Amino acid sequence: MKQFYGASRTGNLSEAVRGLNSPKLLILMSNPDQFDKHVEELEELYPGVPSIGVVDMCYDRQVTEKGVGVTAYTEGVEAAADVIEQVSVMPAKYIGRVEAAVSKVRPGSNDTVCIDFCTGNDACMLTTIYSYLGSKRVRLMGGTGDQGKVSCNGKVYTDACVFAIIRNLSGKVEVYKENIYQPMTANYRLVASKTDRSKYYIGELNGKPAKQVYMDILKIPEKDISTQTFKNPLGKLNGEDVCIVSIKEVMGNGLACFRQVNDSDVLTMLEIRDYRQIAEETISKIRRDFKNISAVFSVNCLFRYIYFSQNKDMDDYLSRMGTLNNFCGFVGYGEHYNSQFVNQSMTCVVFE
Amino acid sequence: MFWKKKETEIPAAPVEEKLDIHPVEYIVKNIKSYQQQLADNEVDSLVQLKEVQDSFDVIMKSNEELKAQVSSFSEVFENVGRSADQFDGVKQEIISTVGEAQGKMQALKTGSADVQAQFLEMERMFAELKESVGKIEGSMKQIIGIANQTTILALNASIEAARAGEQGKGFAVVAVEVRDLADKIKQLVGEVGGFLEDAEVRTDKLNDSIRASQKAMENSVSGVDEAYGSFDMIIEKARGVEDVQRGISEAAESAGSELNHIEQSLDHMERDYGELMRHIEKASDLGTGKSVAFENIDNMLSQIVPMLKEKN
Repeated sequence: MKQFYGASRTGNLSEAVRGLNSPKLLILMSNPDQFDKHVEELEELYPGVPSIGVVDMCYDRQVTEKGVGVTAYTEGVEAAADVIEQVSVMPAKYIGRVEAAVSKVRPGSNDTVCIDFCTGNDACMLTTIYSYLGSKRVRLMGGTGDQGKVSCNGKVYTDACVFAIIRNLSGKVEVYKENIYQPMTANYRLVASKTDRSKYYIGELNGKPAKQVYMDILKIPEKDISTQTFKNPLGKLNGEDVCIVSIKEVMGNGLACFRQVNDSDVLTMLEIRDYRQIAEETISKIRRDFKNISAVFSVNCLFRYIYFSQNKDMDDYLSRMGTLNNFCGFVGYGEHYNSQFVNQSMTCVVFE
Repeated sequence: MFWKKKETEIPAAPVEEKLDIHPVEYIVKNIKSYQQQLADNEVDSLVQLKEVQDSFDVIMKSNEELKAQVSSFSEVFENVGRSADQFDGVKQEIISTVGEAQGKMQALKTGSADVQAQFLEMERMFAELKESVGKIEGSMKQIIGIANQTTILALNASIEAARAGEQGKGFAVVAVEVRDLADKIKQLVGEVGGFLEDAEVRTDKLNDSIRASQKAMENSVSGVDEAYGSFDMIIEKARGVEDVQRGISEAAESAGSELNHIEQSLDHMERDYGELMRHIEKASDLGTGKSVAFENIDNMLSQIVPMLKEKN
């Protein structure tokens, strides 16, 4: 299969798709000001070709912050795209569209992936569609877009999740999640209570005000909490797996996060590791799993982008990941990995 | 992730979706699936709790065994302690006896010095006596010499007496010489007498020295006997130490064996604790798994009411 990536820093869509012929699926990554226009333009350039779009920065070896990028799959794939509407309230209502798209593509064993862009209520949406996708052995990766807008097949939607089902005709696919954080040595076990899932709010940890617990563990003042998440986010434990929960801000005596936390969820305090070492481990794992790599499509969390950029490491990171061959992706506001909605992570799909 | 869930305003659905109950069926089916996951999780959790309970029972039993072994080891160790106490007693006795022996050796040393001094005195006495005897010998030689001369003179006097009638002068000369000789003899005899007295005194002194030496020797011999006696006691005490040492060795060997048992028990306990921790961690992981299932159920359930409201 073949993956195309083109970008224009000036937002010139025609420049971004120069050399792109006969795509089977289009993925549009545009800026807030030009998104609607780009969606329309793309449909005009490639009418009837399944497409999904999101408002986000994109990258291959470099980040395109305010322009436009297009990823396309040109051969060796079967693809279908559709939209789940009313995602903030009842994504299950549109499960038939997911079923139809999957049926159209006819997934085999470990050769099909769902790439999705969501405007919100990600956890609920993922629970809903992955219940079906998992039963069909379809992997999932994706992320949350900016501006509350996404596009599908030439149309812009708000309050929706757009998705593309892609079957690799030349081999397998697999999705990966990369986490540059680890539980602190003290291995804290923090049981959440007095949560409000609609507000992504945590009231208490181990029966004490969540704000105070966070400050006491890290020995920081309240004013540093919102920026401390770059080094010490929370992590929700699920067996041996950890889903990162970014902290947004202090809300009263509790903490507002970028992901819902429920009563009795067990959280832990995370600390940052050496991202270079982690990137090498990810690359090594992918190389062990794949003899040949056709393409990699990824999402990196905005907070990772900010952290790497502050340390002037973004180019170095993209360069390392670029050794995997045909690596590109977008900067998301939340990441999807199968049924998990996570923060401060990188998720990707690898095509053989 | 920056976009929170919208609150309850539900936009109008496309008409073709309105009568479709498939989504509700889908939700119900998945809730049942999550319910089953929770049930399976609960079963696994109960199994793990049972394993934890069983692990605790094993550990409690091991703990009791360990306590018994430690108690047994304590007794053995008390034996070692008692033997060590005995050893201490014997040690004190040996120290005391050695001290005595040292005292006697010191006395022996002093006695030996006395003997040596006495012998030196004797040597001096002998020398003096020898000198006196030498002098006597010298004087006696002179007396004998003089006696010989007197004999010759007496012989000459006889000859002269035989010839006295003819001439008496030579006889007078001989008489004078005999008188001179007699005087010398007297003097010499007096000297010899003095020498003899002197020799007598020195002989007495020598005898005293000999007696003193004899006594010193007797004391030394007695001291040696006593020292031998002390050494015999030390040897005997040392044999007692050997017995105590044997007792300590046996007790130590027994203690070593008990320690091996305790070490094995500790190894078993470490393994049992490891097993326990594994079950506790597994139970903890299952607990966190439950929260995911709860969230999934909540995510599904939260959609039912809005869907039903919309359909109405």
